[in-house]
Amino acid sequence: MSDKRQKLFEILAQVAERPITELSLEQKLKDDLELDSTQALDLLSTIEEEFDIEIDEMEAAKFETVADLLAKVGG
Amino acid sequence: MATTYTPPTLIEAMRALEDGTHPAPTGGAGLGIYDRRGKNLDRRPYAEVVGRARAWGAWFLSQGVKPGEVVYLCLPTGHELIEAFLGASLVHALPCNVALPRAIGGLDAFQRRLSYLSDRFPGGHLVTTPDVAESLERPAWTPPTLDLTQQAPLDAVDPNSLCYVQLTSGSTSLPKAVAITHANLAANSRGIFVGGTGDATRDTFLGWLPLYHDMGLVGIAFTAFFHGASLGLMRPETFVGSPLRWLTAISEVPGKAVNCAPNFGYQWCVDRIRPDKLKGLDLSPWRLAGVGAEMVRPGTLTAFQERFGPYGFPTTTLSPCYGMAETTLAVTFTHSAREPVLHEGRVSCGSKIEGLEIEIRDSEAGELVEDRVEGEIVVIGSSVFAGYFMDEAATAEALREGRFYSGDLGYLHEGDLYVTGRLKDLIILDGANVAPHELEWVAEQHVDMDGGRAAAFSLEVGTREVPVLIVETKTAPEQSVIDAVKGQAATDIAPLHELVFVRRGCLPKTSSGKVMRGRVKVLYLEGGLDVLWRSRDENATPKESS
Repeated sequence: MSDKRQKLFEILAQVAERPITELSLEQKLKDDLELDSTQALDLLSTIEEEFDIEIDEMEAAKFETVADLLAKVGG
Repeated sequence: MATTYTPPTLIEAMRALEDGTHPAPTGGAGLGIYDRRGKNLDRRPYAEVVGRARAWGAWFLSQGVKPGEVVYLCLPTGHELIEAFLGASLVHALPCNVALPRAIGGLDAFQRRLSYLSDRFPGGHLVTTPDVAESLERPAWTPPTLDLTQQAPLDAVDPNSLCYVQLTSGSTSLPKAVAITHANLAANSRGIFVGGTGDATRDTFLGWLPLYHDMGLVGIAFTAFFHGASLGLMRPETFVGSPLRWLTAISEVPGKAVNCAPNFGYQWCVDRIRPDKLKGLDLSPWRLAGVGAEMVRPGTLTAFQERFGPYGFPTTTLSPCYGMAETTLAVTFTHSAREPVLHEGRVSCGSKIEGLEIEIRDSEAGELVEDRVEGEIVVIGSSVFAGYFMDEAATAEALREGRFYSGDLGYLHEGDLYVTGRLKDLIILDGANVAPHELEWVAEQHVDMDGGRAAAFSLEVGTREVPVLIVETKTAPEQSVIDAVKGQAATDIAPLHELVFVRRGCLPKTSSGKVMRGRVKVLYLEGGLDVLWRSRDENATPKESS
């Protein structure tokens, strides 16, 4: 697993309150991981800070899967 | 504070802040916007804010915007949003703040929200970011490069004319639209400012709530603006990602900090700020922290005080309050600096603000009840809204003989209001209103209900409300249907705590066929529904917290 992917999964595990071993790239963030709107904001804000990137509103709205997030952080 | 000056209209406030005739010492006061990490305040003095708002007004006129037309503003928290709002109001259009698409899968719901608004209230205009505008099929404006030489005049306006439209929920698909007059806004911001012993020489209002939320718009932004007090705003995601940013900003204000937030915001601080990050933080400048917009929980207040008291957070800062969009915002406020007061385990929401009267009426007979007797909270006075925008039926139901029937239950005790529950079936998720029919509508989109009905309500789990959706069908639906309902609920509104399919006809209904959501909830909790399929197994059956 790449460093970025590992880091992303660690953030996701914490925000979604799931064991890291249950996470996969195909999972849908809302349907499968059941993130609510507060968790979604928390997740993206944490990713912005940890990866030192900015995510604008439209990008944020378009994310659906874990793979989408990994693509954004360049992993 | 008898000498506090409150301009009678938003336009008068703009004029007084621009030409310096506002008696509050506004020389250094202005609007500051924090960057996405909660740092580097971008400040503009109010005179500059108003100058830019006037240029926005001139631009709206050049685009053909007419008085009375709705201008939807779908922009992130920032100078542009405030200035466009003021500019639209200045040319007698009706600004209306709308949430941007929700993060993660929020585009479809956003499109539906805009379609609903344009169908329901035809003839409006939309201003949004270039990215959002590009994604839309309908025409939208993006913020122009303002020509500051073009200035819309600051003409006097009748205080009883409409000033803006507030959606009861800025982020769901089917909101109601509350019409607020200049007089409403002036009266309510005064009630909050004076009620909280505001002082423009000392106080900075510092919030993170979105400006499509009435508490963010009125309780923070316009209460400061009308009274010439400094204002600092950060984006909601800046706070949610790290609530310590909000507390750090508060610790750094010159003078004293004032703000308000839903119960959720304070609980989030307790849950998410690691104690080891608090070293060196000084919260002693935090003078007033309004807590409202959803049920105020004693446990949250206690936990917040215990966690942050050692860092200088004063014991008299937390100020529970009560209000809603239909009363512009505040109805009650904890006026004097005091520790939160409890009565029979409930938090006092303080007493009525200036200009309002509260009655408690029997929820069936409609008669006034005595102190300490529960009834419907009814509000009368200067900040009660003009009506639901373009909805006479809903207006006639809620506003009777000048009284606003809130649909909330509570009682008065020693002049203070205690809120006990809701007569209306409103669901409040982290301070955001969701009407049950919005969730029920999701079921209707996907499930062959064969004439059956759906019922949505909320449960309290821990310190939060979570939604439950019960749907009548003939037989348990296919997995794809279940996924579709759960998926759309999650993207449009919130993930369902539980989705339950029950046998058609088993939900209790009134003689006119309306589902009795309160009764459904009782049956659900008691296990009295004829369940065909449910999304949680027996071990995970939720319990209401006490």
